[in-house]
Amino acid sequence: MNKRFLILSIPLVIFLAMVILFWKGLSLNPGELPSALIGKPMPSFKLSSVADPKIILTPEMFLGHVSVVNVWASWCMACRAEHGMLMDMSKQAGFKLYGLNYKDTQESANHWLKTFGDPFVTSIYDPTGTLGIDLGVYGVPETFILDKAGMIRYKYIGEIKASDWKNKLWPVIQKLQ
Amino acid sequence: MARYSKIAVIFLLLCQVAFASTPSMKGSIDQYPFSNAVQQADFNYLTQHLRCLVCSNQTIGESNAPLAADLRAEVYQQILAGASREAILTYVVNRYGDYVLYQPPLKPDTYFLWFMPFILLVIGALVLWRLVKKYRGNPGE
Repeated sequence: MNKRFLILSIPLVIFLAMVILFWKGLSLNPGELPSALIGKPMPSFKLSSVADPKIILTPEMFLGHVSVVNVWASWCMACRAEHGMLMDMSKQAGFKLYGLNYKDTQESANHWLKTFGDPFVTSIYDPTGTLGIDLGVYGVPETFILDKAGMIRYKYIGEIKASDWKNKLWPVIQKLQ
Repeated sequence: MARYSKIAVIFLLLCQVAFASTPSMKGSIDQYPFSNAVQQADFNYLTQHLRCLVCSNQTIGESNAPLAADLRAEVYQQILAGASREAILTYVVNRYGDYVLYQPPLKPDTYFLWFMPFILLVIGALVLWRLVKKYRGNPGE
């Protein structure tokens, strides 16, 4: 009787296991991939700034403070939606907000910053997307958080909403202080 | 009868136009000439084994997404520079993670994925073996 009960309960156990598996699996966003760069240093680069082609930027700019690096482009619709959030973020203390202008033209990038406001300390100009490939960028906007040693600690994919900032990004920044 | 055969001829011609024009259009978007067949084979292999991340169900060889084009160009440059298949795969995986590989690597994270079919096969075989044994003993049932 006992054995029969055990055997009969096998389908139910399998069913429950599948419910848990699918409950978890189907709620994941397939567009959000884990970054291969977490825990690695910022890839090396030597690029000019968006504002001034004569200013040469290197990863040393990220040393000594927590950095938030936002990958953006003037052709990116989600970046337009995110821009207000970035402006709000730039008013907060405890980190420096940088831009990585991805596969854009200097002219449209500067026009964008002039029109909608410039939340960034400075924006790196990456017209060919070389640094983008080194960072594993596949969908703009993306946002990286770097610690004081310039190591990548966190990556956020897509538009940052106020709730994401509060619940996901800001706690990471606080931990890195 | 003659009218039908005319329609058939037109239809076949249209088919030919439709199918013949596709590959040549694809080739005109970007061309990667190689001077030797080994490099060409490497390029074909790599562009057919790397996933385009913007359009997850296409390889970087199939996709027209800008990122796929960038990665094709990167693969091409590295092959010309003499990099091996493994070196280029490592280069891409270091940036985009294992997900870019159409064939997942065998490592502790993926043991479940790789061995589950065999485990299920063994379980199935055991169940079958027990059932066969049970009913062979009682042919009347």
